[in-house]
Amino acid sequence: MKMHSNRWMVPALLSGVLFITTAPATAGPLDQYIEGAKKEGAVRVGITIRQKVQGKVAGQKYLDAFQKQYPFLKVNFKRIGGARERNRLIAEMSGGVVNYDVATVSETMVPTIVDAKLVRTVDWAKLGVPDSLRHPGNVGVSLRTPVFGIGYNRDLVSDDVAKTFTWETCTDPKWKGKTAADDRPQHLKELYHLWGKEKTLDYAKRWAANKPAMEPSRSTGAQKLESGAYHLICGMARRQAKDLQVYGGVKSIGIVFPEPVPVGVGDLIFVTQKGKSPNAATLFIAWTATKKAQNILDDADFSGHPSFEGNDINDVIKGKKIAYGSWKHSENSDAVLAEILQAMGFPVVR
Amino acid sequence: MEAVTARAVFSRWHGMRLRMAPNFLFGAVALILLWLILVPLGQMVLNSFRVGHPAVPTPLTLQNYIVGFTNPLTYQMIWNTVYFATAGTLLTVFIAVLFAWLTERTDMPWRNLAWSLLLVPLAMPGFLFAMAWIFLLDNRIGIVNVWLRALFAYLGWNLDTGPINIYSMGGMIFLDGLRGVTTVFLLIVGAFRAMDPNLEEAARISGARALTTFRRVTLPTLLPALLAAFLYSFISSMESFEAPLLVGLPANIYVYSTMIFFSTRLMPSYGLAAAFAVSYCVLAVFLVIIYQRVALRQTERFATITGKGYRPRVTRLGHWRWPAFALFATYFFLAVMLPLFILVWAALSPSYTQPSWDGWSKLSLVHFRRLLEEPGILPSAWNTLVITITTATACVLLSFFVSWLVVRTKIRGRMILDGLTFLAHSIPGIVIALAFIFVYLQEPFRSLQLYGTVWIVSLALITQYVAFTTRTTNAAITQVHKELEEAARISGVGRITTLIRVTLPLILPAFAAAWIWVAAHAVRAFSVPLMLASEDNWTLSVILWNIWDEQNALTMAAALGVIFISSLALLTFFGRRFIVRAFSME
Amino acid sequence: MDLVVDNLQKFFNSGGNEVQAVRGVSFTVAKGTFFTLLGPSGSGKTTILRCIGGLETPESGEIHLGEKIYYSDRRRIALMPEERGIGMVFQSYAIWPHMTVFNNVAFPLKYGLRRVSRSEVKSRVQRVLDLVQMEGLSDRMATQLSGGQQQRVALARALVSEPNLLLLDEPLSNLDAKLREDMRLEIRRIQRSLGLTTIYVTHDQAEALSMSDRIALLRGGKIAQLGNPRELYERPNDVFASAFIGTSNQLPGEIAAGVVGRVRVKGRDIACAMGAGCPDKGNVIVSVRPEDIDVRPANGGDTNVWKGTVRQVVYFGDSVNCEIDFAGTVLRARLHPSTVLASGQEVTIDFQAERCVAFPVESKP
Repeated sequence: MKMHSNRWMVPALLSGVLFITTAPATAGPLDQYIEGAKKEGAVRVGITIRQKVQGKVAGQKYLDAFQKQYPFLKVNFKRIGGARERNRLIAEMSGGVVNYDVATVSETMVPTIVDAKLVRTVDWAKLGVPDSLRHPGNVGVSLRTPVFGIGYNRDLVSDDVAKTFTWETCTDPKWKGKTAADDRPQHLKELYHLWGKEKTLDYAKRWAANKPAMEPSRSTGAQKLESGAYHLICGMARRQAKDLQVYGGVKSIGIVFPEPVPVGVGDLIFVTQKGKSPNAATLFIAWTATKKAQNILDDADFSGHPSFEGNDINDVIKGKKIAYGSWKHSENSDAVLAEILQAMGFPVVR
Repeated sequence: MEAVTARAVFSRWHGMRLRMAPNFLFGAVALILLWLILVPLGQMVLNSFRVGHPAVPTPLTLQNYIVGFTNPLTYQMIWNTVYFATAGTLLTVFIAVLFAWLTERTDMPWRNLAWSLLLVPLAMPGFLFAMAWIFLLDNRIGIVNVWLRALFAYLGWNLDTGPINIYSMGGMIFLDGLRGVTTVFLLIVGAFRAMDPNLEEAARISGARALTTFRRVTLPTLLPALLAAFLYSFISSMESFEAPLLVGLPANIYVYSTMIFFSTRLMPSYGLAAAFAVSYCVLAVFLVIIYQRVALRQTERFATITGKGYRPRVTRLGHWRWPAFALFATYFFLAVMLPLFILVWAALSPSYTQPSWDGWSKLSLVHFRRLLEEPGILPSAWNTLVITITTATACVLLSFFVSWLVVRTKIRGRMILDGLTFLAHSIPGIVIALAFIFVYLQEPFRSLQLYGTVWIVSLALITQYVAFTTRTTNAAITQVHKELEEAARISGVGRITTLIRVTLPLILPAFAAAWIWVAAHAVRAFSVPLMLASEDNWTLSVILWNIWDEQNALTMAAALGVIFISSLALLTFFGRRFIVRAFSME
Repeated sequence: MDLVVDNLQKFFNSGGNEVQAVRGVSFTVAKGTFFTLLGPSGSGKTTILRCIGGLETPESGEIHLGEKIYYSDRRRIALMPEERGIGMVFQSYAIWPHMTVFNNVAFPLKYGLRRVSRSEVKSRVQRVLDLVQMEGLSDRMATQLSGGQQQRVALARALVSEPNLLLLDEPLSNLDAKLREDMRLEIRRIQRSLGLTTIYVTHDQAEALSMSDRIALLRGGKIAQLGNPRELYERPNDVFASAFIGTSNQLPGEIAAGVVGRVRVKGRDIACAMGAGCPDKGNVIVSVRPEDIDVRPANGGDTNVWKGTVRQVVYFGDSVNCEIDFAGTVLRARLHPSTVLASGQEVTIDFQAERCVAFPVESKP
């Protein structure tokens, strides 16, 4: 044990817990839901998985696996994409138009759906959802965990050089004018809670002084990185990079993960209050927290939680210090982000 | 004794004689407009007095206004934007007026072709246009820059980046200025066509050269149309979003719209967004008042289609003929050919690389094939068609009646109708869509069952576009001398039949042009259909956005974009033929 | 089927001020006659015409054609223009540019209140085009016509539905002089042959005099004088009328004491007609027409004559007009074309007997 650092303890423990709890359900807490679900017969799922990407099968694998696990449930899937659609969802549900049993929102919208009474709480812990994925108020469960690193163009920056990157690389004048960033630097949000306000805002200012080009959408940023318009993207989402590499067949993009590795909480998926199949919905959500599901998720959507063995991301960041986001902090995360943006000189009126 | 006809009932009211039919029309039109415009407007104003998510209503508060407008940053941004909008609008209007004059009043070679080609830029969705130019003029990978650098290197002058950097205020103005030309052109070209040639001939006889005539006679006569176009374009520029976002952001240049974007997408800030949106409306009200005072009051002065001597005359350009065409060709090259080239290149490349001889050999149609397999593409194509035709037709008809009521009748309160349509233009599309969502999800409108259908998209789009079409039909009806309608009345024909048999055919060209404009905008409409997209009412632009943003597939998005552009270009090109034929028809 | 206009009043709101365009105008037009509303611009003549046509609505009064009431504010009736069965020719002709000549003329028959069958449309249009001598041009597009041709088409369109009343709003003012003269005769001829009750608006007194059966001279929204052309020309009611219709020379004069019908002008007594409102004694204005002035080269020995100096001589081919300095004013005289005078020449002046009219001195309105 002395050989391993303390950083290994938590993931190892979690893995153990998960292993036990995701064993095929023999007895247990899921039984009543299975009974109820059999009567419901179908479940309408609205989450942010993409079934196909550029013609290749992606998230469909994920849904198929669930279907296989519970063959008596028909899965109706509709993708709920970005903020626009999630807002529409909230508007619809509060207007009484409920098309989904499982729905999704981003972390900042959680208080809204709670206040608007759109959520059916379930004792997720009892159903075996690990704390890393569970919302403390039992509102729902995390899905699609974002992990952030530094993306780089492999034609302009060699892999060896990239291996030496740290977060301070972004503030290094050597890269001035050659980097880009997403206009919502989520990674700083997670680092904020580890580093504290002062250190983070200081970092943000130094980073801004290096004039990163702010890109309004992840895809334009990634596209331009690929074309060589930028050398680096600081705070690139792992999912983005993997997407291009695997589905896009792009070879010119690489990504490294300097410490501490920011890991966000991701989307919240929950059982809708007025949905017709709450039991089936519960089964679905509980299933997403299993190792098997996470492995498929990571494989198909590159957004599995790093604490799960078998996830590629788990391998990549083994041994590194991790800055985990938590639901506790998530509610004021946009306020934090606004603070950071203001420190960087963005025109944010609050 | 001849019986007194019963139809001729009249009553005195406030000293005015009322006539039935136009008044019913006025009532109906007013109701429709109020419904279309006050609904989102009202919802927006209401939201501005609330905080948090509209799904969880809070008590009314002034907090949004305080936060938004006591911050000096807001005013900085407004100033920035006024500068940007003014420069962009001036550029747009200058180009549009020049081309309107060249195509309608001079003997520039191939001016009919030029007219049709001027409609083509309508076909390109805004963010594709910006992205195309980014790939052309990005200071590192922009292909134009790459070529220029190669050229300079050949001349012995080595550059690392540039020489042209699109990420600048100049770049933003360039993009915005180019984009608006077609719309402004359409707003003023009718006036150029209909202008009494005697006015210019008198100037030429007095010895003034072509340019002087243009400056001193043509321009002042067209003042109402020009003013309307300028104000319309100014508001569009103030709200302009895509270019400032894609081009301004990487350069740390912000304008009002992007500031609003940043400030309000963190935390549910609908209230703040609504408060800012209200400021656009205030600006629009202000501009409407100016416009109505200056332009509409002088309708009689500017009635230049009479029955008499209606033969458009042409100014000879002499040795300026071919330079004029070169000017037009340059514009078309920059506004259409170049960005289209890049998009076509991207659409045909398996994955995007800079244009090169190498890449040429790898071109394939793979993305077009994949598009056909994209789920939902065919239903959304159908939806797009339905929405386009409905929106364009309803919009043009509605504005025709509004314009007739405003310009021809003396019903009190008709100016409010006109002002309302102008106001509608100032409400950002996203706000309209959001308001529609909330209104049609709740009683009493819920029972109309419009939510989630193509009809709600159509309604929202009509609200957005009715401002433009009303400008067009206003100008068109103004140009028709009232005696032409009076002659029909005397001939025994009622007001409505006169409207249809005399007024309508005379303004059919303007009508058709407006229809095409709305159709093109409806096809490429973006933020509204996206916001309102539920299950069954997706349009092609929603699919496009999906491919672009969700799948990171620039090349596939480019492919769809190319399809958009080609079909719209065909529509506008052949639509122009229809206009010309309709004009000389009976 | 006389047209009766009774106490017509019409206001306009112009920039917040109320302007009274027509102040209680009444007249009758006998069936089949040609009636002209004559006056300077702003006199209300066009407004009256448009009220009769239904294009403007009066404030009060009555308009009826025979038994058919077009407008009566007392009885609360106001027919729409399309219900009045009137034909009208507009000042701008208002020919629809997007239609052929045929369709322009056929329009009232095809879409108006009294529609007819297709074959009848064709024959009636042909007939009326023949009447205005535009046969053979029925397929031309309206934009290809000259001004005179457009005017005829406008007339044809007004006549094709066989209206009971024809209104013409200064239709000749945009034509050249020769064409104008020809068209005057044309219109009159057509009107007579059809026996159509016609109301004509013009500011050109020559037109009014040559075409009308009766003329109403309008001033400031009121009828200043009503009568046939000869009455208006030879016996104008006041200075305005005499100046507006024809040309009038005006001289100051004084009623000759004790003698009826004689006025003292510059030392001589002459016989004059007395205009309305003339006082028994005191100052008057004497009006005399150019053609009633005799001018002869002066003989040194003439006494008790008026003497003046020629200012300017203009030869017109069918007459000689000269301007003469006399009695502190400039007289305009119209003389036989054989008269030869030179500028600066002294001449004697006389008026033809009883051809002058004396008016009270009125203050300018």
